[in-house]
Amino acid sequence: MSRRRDWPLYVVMAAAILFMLAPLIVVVGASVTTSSFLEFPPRGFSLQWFQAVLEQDVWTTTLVASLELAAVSMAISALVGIPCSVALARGSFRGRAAITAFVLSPLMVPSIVLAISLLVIYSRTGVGLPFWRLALAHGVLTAPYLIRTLTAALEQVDPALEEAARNLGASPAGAWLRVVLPTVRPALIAALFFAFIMSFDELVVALFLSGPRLTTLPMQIYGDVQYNLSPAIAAVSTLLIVLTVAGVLLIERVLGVRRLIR
Amino acid sequence: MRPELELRNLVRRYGDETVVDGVDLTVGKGELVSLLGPSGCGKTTTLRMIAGFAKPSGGQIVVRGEDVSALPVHRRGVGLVFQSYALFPHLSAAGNVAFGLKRRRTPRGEIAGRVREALAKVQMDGLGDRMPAQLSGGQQQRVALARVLVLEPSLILLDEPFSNLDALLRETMRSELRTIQQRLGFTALFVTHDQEEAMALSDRVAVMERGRLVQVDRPEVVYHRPATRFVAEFIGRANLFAGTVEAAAGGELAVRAAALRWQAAGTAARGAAVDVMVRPDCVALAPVAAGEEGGDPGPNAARGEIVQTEYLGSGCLVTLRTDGGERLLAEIRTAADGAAELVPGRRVLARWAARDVRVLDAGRAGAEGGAEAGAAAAAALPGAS
Repeated sequence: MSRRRDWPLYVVMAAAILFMLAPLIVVVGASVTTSSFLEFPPRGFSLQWFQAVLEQDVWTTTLVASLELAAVSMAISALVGIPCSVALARGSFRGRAAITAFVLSPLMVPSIVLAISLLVIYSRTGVGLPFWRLALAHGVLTAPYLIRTLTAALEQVDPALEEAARNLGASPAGAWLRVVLPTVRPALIAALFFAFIMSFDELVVALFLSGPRLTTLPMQIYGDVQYNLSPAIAAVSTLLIVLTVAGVLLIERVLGVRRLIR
Repeated sequence: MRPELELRNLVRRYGDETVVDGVDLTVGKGELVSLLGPSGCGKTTTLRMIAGFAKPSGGQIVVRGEDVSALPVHRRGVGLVFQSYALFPHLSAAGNVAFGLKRRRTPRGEIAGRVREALAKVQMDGLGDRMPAQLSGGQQQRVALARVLVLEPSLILLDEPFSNLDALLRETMRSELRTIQQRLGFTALFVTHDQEEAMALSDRVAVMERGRLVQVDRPEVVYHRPATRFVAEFIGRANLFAGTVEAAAGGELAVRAAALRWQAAGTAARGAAVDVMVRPDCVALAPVAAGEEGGDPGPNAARGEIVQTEYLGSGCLVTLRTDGGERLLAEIRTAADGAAELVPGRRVLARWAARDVRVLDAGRAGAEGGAEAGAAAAAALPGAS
């Protein structure tokens, strides 16, 4: 193929990239404005809104709350999801297809429906702690993503690897822990990362379940947009973008995940 | 001496299907035995039962006098080299080799030395740091072997270990495997569907057909004295014809198969349906001079015309159409006198010795002989149409 004839491809690619980057450009642009309204293009350039955000306790408090929530719900998701994936990927038992459909069902249920049903369940059973209510809900919400990613990866693993480990003297559990799971490490890390991010920016379920004593970062942003519409929100969003990119780079460097998204 | 491995009436069923059907096999210490058969004959299932990945439906697997049928995989102490190598992708070559030692709680200080030693045995010195993805197919194969050798098992199973290598490397690796096996003296059971590989490598070849062992013997015996028609056809090329015994006396048989007359050693009743077989490399060709045409060429001989010649390197495979209409294969040495004259269109006299003829019980009723004979003769010769 000659380069000359490829130009329509490059145009499409450039358009796609622009389309994906546009929201980021708008948000970052709006965060440096000198005016006191959320607008794009920005008027002038200043970092005053970043300063305002860092000086207000409410942003750091909610950020920490959201990070804690994301970490705990990721752990719950992993605790449920990893054994479940292992069973679905390798087990051959009755009703496997039905169970697969069942564990993946939260993917298909609108989150508002899930939020309402969990609200009803919690008010009946009286689980009072808002943090744990939300962490459990987010675990339910994110586990299917983890299970789907991990099951797909585990199904790709040559069954001979597990058998080789067994033949060399590993117990059944040892073969899984030392060979099969390390083989899917990139997929596992990617899945955990997605679970974390999903919980971190989840709004609908959080609004329904958190109650007055717990505010997450997305809830805070949402509230602010409703009442203030100040460029501080754009500054917060820009900081989140920076944090996320830094997180991805860190995982890439430290854990050597080259194919984070497969 | 106690045999290293004994399979006693080993059976494996999947539902209604019997995949392994009463296999009896004894493998002596230091012996290399090939389990040879077409795909689906049950050879891999047999191997997997010995390794412990499949449960026998019946029978016993005895390793050094001990029935291991009930032992879990990781307690069997039987090494297995996989067709896909099954190297652990997240571990280096050395890490792969060390894996089994670590599971056996080998002292740390000892591991490095033994890993180095094992890699040296397969000529992979200095490549221990490489990851499997950075190794060529042949190198991966060597690591897979070293990973098993380092544990010093007295029995090693190999499941089509060379099938993913190109032809040249396959030959190198198989002669290397043979050298290592003889030097270290371990016992090996080698599963393959490649008859040439089985013949080249093994002390004995066990030919398997539809879940049963049909012949277990030295390669040359399996080749020249096949026990059944299946073995004759599966191992190498064969001129195989269905015929009828015309006379039997004193251990000698006279057989008529289509338009050819055969003499061979054997015992069978007069009128019995048999198959006769002679290997192409036992058939000699001579050009027919103008005055020699006409008349009966005698038993174990046929006149005909060369239809095709295939150059094989050291040999040449010649296809004849005999005057009776049969197709006959002869493999002659390229360097032999007069070989250059054997070109398509040339009339030749083919001869073979009575001692090279193998008479096989056709295992069919005499009445059906006629119909089946034609089909059998056609099937016996590749290229017959």
